[in-house]
Amino acid sequence: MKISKEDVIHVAELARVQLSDAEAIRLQADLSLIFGHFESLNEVDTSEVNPTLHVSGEEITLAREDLEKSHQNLRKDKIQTPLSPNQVLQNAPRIEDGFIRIKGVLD
Amino acid sequence: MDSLESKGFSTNEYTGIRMTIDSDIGGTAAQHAVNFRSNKYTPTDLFKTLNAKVISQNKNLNAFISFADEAALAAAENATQRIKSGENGPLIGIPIAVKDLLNTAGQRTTAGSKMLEHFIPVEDSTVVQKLKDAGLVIVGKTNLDEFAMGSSNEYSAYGQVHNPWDLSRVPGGSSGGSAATVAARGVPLSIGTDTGGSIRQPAALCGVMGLKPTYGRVSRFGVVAFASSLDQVGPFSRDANDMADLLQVIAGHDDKDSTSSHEPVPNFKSTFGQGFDGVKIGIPSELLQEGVEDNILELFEQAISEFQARGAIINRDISIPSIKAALPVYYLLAPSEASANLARYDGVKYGFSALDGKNAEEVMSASRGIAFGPEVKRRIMIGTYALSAGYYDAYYLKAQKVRTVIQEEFNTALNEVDTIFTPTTPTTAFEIGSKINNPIEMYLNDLFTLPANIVGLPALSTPCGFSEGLPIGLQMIGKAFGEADLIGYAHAYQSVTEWHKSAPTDE
Repeated sequence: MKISKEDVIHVAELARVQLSDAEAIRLQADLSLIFGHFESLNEVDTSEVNPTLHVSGEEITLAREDLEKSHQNLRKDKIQTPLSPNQVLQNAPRIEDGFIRIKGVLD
Repeated sequence: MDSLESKGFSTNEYTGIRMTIDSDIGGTAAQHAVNFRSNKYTPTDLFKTLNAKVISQNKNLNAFISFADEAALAAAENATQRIKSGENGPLIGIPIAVKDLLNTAGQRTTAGSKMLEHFIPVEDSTVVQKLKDAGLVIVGKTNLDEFAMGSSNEYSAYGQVHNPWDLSRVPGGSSGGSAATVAARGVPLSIGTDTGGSIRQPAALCGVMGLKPTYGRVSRFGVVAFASSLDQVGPFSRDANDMADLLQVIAGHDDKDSTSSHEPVPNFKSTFGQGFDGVKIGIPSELLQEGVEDNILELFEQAISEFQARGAIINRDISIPSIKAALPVYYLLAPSEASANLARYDGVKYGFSALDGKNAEEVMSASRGIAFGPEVKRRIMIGTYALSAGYYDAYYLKAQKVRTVIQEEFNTALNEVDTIFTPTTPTTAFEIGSKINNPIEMYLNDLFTLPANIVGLPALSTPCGFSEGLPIGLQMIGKAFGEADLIGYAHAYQSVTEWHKSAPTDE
């Protein structure tokens, strides 16, 4: 399978990862090789099977009335203490007046 | 986080203590627990001594990214009081190392990445909280491949971990630091994570025990996410007894992780003493056909005959015809999930942020371009490509369907046998740098370990011999939530073999 350098640059933009020219050339070769190996999946007949959604088969319970059933995955609706604003912001790279400061979204 | 050493705790200060516990320092958790109760030494003594030992070993092994601070000393002193007051928890005061992928409140958690070089978690991960509650003392955070992506520890932003059996070789990965320090008798126990073999493969290459529990057995809350449908936290130890004790502490449902299971947690030692009589062991012959070193196959067969001689029934007719597809399934699913999980590192909320850029998007791309290493970028690219418009059905959806097929094949096989045995790895520990330029060859390391993650089943690795001075591992895959059975088989095997007692010579 051949993946072009333009493909690599496009995918890097989608993934928001800046690549150097050397990295893009290396990844073009790597991805071509790796996706070539993925072709072997077509040897497995999957015409009659559903995709795996959850590996243990436990259903994720979303309806409130199901909460008391055995596989409840939602906690009871009780008030808990949230993180403080200081805790939430303590690892932010740039803070100003209790807000996270970022560069403009529009040019 | 600074080491205790840098804060003026010189190792000489403890010479007096070290002389009295020197012969015991490399003991298992169970041996330390006995010595605590007979007042031979206290958890505080042991912590200070082992802390000095792991710091000194780190010059060669680089197994740790950061060491304990005063909080750990306080935890050791607290454990000493708990022992004095007669508490009998088996792991009170036992030193443990934790993979630097699990959040520790107030202590730096890097995930092996430059992206999180200065990240200080606000909360403990559930597993770390449970360790602390059970009285374990965290001596440090162990080195790993960046974001747990790798099989050799060559992808850590904090330098290569070295295999204690041969410093020129890799320890395996991604939990290489956790395996190396237990192997080198630094700490008796450690915690790792396993997404495609990241506990079992380094356990095998370093000659210790490692367990990947059933998906959902252990909470993932507060663990830096790699591939959420595959990730599990699990223990490293030197023997089955310690492994049962540690799994007992960390297993169980957690309200903070909706994928953690409500399955009741059994006593993981309830299977001890049952032996192998009548145990049905399946060997999937199609896996052993190519690419496995001869010495490994030979020692694997020798281990099988140990079981057979004691009454186990060996079944070589079980078949998992699609098992070879596990490799491409894994290398589609894991990067796809990773590309979504790692989208959170945007240089805005936390983590590395590039200062330059004319707008928010440029800052984001630059931050990720600078702070992510080569393997993380490669996997983000694989995942983004596989999930992008026009390719989703051909790759991601196809892989999830093949996953169902593999799962059905495992279910069929495990209806006929109690457990499936394979070698843990196709080769022994390889030379640092020897596979770094070939991603496919590197990915083949995980051939035997990936299937258990894909189908969510528990699997452990226990030492079963040496090839040219390097340890090899025996993998046992069990039924869902059958960890007690696997630990029981390992316990029985270890009672008739000595492989798990071998230690590398001290540097």
